[in-house]
Amino acid sequence: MEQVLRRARAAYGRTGLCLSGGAAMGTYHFGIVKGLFDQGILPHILSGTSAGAVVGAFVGTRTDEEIERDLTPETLELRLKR
Amino acid sequence: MRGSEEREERSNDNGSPISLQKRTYSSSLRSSPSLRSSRILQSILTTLARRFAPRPLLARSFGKGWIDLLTNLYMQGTLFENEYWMQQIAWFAGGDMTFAEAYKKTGRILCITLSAVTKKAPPVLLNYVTAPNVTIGSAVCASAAVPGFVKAMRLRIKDENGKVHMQEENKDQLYFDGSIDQDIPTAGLAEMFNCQFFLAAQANPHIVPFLYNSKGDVGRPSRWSVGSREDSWRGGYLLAALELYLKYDMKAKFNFLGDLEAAVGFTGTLMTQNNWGTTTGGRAENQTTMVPQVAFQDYFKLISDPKLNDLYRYMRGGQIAAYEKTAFMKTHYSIAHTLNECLAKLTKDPSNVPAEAIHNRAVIRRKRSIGRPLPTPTILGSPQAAFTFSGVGGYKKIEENGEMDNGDNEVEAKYATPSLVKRTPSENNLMKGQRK
Repeated sequence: MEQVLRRARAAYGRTGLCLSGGAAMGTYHFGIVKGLFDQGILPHILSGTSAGAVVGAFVGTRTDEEIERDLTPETLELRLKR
Repeated sequence: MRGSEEREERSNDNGSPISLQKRTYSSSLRSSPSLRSSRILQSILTTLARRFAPRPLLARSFGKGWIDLLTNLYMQGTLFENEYWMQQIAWFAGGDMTFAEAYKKTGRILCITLSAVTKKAPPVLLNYVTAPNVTIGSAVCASAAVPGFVKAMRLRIKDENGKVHMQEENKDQLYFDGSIDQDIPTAGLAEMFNCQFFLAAQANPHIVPFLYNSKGDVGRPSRWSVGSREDSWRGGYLLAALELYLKYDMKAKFNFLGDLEAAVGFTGTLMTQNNWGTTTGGRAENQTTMVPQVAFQDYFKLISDPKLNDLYRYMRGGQIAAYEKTAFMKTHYSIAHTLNECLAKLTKDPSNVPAEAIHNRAVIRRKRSIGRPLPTPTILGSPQAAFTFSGVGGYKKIEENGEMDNGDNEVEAKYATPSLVKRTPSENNLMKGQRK
């Protein structure tokens, strides 16, 4: 039974979040990640490209608490502008 | 006297066109004349910008004035400098954290796609397995290096002593924008981490307008003209047909140009790599795409720093796009988590329990204490199963030494018979219920 379940689990596979590129439009990814995070369905496997890589790196290097702290428009605005 | 001098100079100039030509072809072209002309260019641009440019054009773009950018473009062939970007990105990428460190810290598997500069080289997927000691910041910068904006760049490596240095000189190891070759690396993720389902977020300005979903999408049902059905044609049959025809036609032409290598520069693969041109709008069987509702003004702000009110708009748009898929994803996860829970109960060896089952509980407990309302567990009956809802994707069974799934899982995935994947009747009902 355990064997069967293990195989079923492997066949079901995992879920990955893929963030695309898109210059300043990639900022939408922050919102997407926040939406997923608040609902508790943020996948553990992230992939990012270009602007998505920035968001991916942001999420990938932070623990849940840090994401909750940093993922606000005010904090991001401070960091995105120069 | 003066007149004769001038005449002499003139005759000299006229008399030596060959030497002049030689000078232009020599390497000295790059140094002094270009410097001088760039200075002239800069002064002209400054005056022009002051006099004629409308206000928004003078606005600073990604922290730099337009004049700086154009000078940089003239001198180096790109709008931005690598070093500048590295500093900007540092906060987002956790300083000089490497992939392995990030994985150890957060347990999240981060992958970043890059394209190699050499032709015919396949796109690269960096993560803690393929590039454990590469700093994330440099990978992000390289991934954002769109030709013309930022130069292709070398990755940075952190050695055992914690010192960061460049990768060795080798032309093959320059990397640039990953979205040119491969925007959504489904194949790579499936191969490395056994990802069978992809939640894609699409915000590419050149693709977003075409993800129209003429028959509706997950979380975005189409009830055009037929109130009861959820997959009627948006905009009516004829208009939907016209939209599809134009889209397929355009896509065919892009494919043709791409295969002929007749497209300009890197644009050849830009429009052909994603399956945006289909009825389902980029939704393959194992993929659902989140597309934020972009505003028209976004296209004018593509290379500028977002203001605070823009950021609120971006966050809101993104969150709405994510909420559309929430129910769908929860159903998807519920099956995975149920399997995990069952496995955890059956397994006698506690070290063999899937880590995510434990992790989920921790997340839920934390969220409870914060006071955020939990998603109501209506789908599965038992309260214990409800726990599995909040979720963390994928089967995370990773030992401390940094190994991913032990090999037999991958093998099993390969040899698992299709019948194993089939859902039980109760799960089938569950899925149907969710769709309604």
